[in-house]
Amino acid sequence: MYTIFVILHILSAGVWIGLGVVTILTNNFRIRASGTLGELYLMRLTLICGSVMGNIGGIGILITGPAIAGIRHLPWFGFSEAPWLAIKQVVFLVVLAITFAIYVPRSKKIGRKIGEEMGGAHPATGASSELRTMFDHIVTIGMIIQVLVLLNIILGEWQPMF
Amino acid sequence: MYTLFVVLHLISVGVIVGLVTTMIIGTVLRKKVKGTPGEIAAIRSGAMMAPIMANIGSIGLLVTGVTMSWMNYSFFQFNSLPWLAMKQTIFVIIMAISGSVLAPTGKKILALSTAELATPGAAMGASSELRAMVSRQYAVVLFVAFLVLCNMILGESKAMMWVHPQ
Repeated sequence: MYTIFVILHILSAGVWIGLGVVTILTNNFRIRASGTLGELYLMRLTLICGSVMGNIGGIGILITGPAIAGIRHLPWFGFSEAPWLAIKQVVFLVVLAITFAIYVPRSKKIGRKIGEEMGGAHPATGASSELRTMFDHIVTIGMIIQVLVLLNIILGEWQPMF
Repeated sequence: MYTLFVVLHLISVGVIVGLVTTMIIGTVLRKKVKGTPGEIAAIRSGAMMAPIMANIGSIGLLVTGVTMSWMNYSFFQFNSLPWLAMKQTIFVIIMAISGSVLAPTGKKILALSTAELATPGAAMGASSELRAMVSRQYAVVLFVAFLVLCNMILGESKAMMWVHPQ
């Protein structure tokens, strides 16, 4: 049972890592397609991947993480007993906070703006500068989340007692 | 040092898992925009992204997997480490499928989708030939994804199977 949860945990983390790579690639393609309709399509694709993969990874880790901790009788926020796990748990909370407080609302706003510009008078000229700035911000936020996920993977494998 | 390679191995698996997830999302999106230029654009985006992610993931797995085996284990030892020997065999099969089927078909899909985007027929979506190629490629990717999952299960369970402790 423990092994199943670990595999599901790795799969969930994998979806998140994959999202990071997808974001980097689609963002590069978007910059290359700047000033064309493709720019708006690629922005939309990045947001859809972010939403679907972010949810799969986030919910997967949220379910399997506590399950693994429960099966192994590991403590919650036990900084003195298992500092690596406590930091991992805190980092995950920070990731969830950034996701729900910043990433999701901004993503929805950008999604609406892309829809407006696609249905507007000049979709063939690509995104407006305002939309590009908004999109650059969300890509940066996505990358910050990726760094935190990477930190958690290192903590989980290394398990340092500090 | 070993932990570093385990982390890099996990990141490489993550890239492959992400690629499969992206392909599943891409297939759903492609069906929604069937018969429009968006269909060809979606196919082309997938064909551009897949080789990059597949290369990062597979080269990462190859380098880290071989290094970890060299540091702590051995190669193709079916009598003493069946889980690892099976894992290594499955990885060789995955590489063979990738090199002989996925990579050449991927190149053909990218070339054909790029050519179709430039034709007036692009407004009607992808040709039946392109759709058939993409569907076949998707089926092979799902098979490879199953093999990757088998390898993850073997790696985590470290099942000794037919080898009994003395």
